[in-house]
Amino acid sequence: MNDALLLCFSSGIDQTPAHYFESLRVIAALTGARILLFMPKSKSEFQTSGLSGVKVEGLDGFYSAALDDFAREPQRLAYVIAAEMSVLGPVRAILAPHTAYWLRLLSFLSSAFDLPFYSNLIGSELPQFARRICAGKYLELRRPPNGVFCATIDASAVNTQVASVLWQGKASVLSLPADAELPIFAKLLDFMSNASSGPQLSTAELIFAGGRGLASRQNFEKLKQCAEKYGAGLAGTRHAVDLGWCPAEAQVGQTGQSVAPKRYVAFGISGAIQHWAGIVNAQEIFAINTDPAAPIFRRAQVGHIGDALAIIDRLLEAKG
Amino acid sequence: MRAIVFISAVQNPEEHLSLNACAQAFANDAALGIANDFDLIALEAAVQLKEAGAIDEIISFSLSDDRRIVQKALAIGADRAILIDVANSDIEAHDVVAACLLAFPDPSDCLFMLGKLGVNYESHLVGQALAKAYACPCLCSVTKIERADAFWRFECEEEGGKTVFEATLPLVMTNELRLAELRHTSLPMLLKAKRKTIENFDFVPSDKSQSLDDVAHLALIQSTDSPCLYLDAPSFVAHMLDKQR
Repeated sequence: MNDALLLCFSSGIDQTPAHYFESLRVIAALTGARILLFMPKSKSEFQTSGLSGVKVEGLDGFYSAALDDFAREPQRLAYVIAAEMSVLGPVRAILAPHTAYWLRLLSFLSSAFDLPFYSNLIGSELPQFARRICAGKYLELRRPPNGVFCATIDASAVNTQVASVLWQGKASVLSLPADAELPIFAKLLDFMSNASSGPQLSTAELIFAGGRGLASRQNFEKLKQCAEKYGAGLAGTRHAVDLGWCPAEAQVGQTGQSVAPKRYVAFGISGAIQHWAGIVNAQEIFAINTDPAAPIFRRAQVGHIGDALAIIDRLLEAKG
Repeated sequence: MRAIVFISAVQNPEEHLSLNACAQAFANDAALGIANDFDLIALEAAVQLKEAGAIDEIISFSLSDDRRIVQKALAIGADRAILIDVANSDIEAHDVVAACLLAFPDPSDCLFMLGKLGVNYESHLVGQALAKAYACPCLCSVTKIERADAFWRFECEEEGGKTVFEATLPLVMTNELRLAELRHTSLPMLLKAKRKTIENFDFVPSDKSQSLDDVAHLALIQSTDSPCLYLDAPSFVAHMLDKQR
């Protein structure tokens, strides 16, 4: 162990797969650095719940950030964290789960400190620095870096169980130094929420996903009802997102997010390579498509050649 | 007002790729064979802004040894192009930033537009590094742009919703696919593109302080087709419900 820190981010214990924390432990062992976990919480959340009952094995410190003012402004948030880092001590690496939010923040931090950035490392391949490229067809392997680095870790790999984390230490609160000189940022005018009530795709064990074959927004809404009844996460292909059937953060695939549920049920999805890149870690795939030659059937364990809507109706009927 | 649109080359997922002898890079031309879709959509948005009178000039900016991607940008609607002839494999985010500073020393009237998956290993670094270099705002995952006099308004996709920002130029933005719908290039557009200017700059990539300088090894992931159990609708649903229990 040395004095260096792994500056690690997480959206919340209940939203982060245990695999991510396991990856942090591997990198801590590899670098000999101590883990310092940053978990942004809102001011009110921080004041009411505090941080009792939160612990990560091998965790050396815990930071909570009262980030109401910055959470939606990654450029400003990165500036605040960068300003605070000077008082934390030497940082060996900056790590976060590979989600759109953290990817954005870490790319700002990487730029701020001129650090190399390893995106989407496969946690299960650590200590090798590996990631999938070319829509998941190739694995790129690199030697772990000697210097300071930033990395996002594919939190979907292998294990989707929610972390069981306990911590009894005291948390610190991050705040912008009073004398900080702020660069020019864009002015935040509004935030329009479209958050869904279903489980997070990154930790969901069952995911219902819809694609072009569902044919209409109404049919996609039906799939949403079905997902709610079965407690499944709701996902869509790029086509479904582009047509406004589902929100952008529900997009799974090369340009969306990667998922690793126990069961992935693809309704009217052809299984193009770009979509496959996002579901490569699913343990079992059920597929429904009218086209018997759809590529999804080459990777699915269970298939039905027919109308996806008929299956949705049957599933809804089964739940009454 | 100028829109500077970064056009980068990316791997064509439809092409068969092969590795070189030491398995550290792709061997064939298809490895970086097409213009990044996200970049082309940024260009389409810039064309729409120009048609609406919001900007005066669109400049396509590329670091690549592939002229085809620049010609495509000119055909879609860029007024002129700047092409810095560098092998695709040599490009890092800081190179793009250094080249951009050379080409655009005064950014005061510039809207820098980059596709979400720009160069540098899809790490989203170029936009952020560029904003740092020009000390200007950077907005990510933009899906809508409007101009009202000196102010610009941007809608950005966020986890859980959309944010709306207001800013003045210079500004760097990266976009989502939903920013615009790419129009097809017609024969007249292609012919017109041939008469447009492509400027070349001498540029030498700098030291690699920010690069991933560790030796990369590439390996094909062997994926075998799994035998699929085909079931009729009632059996399929019964099987699913059974698995749920």
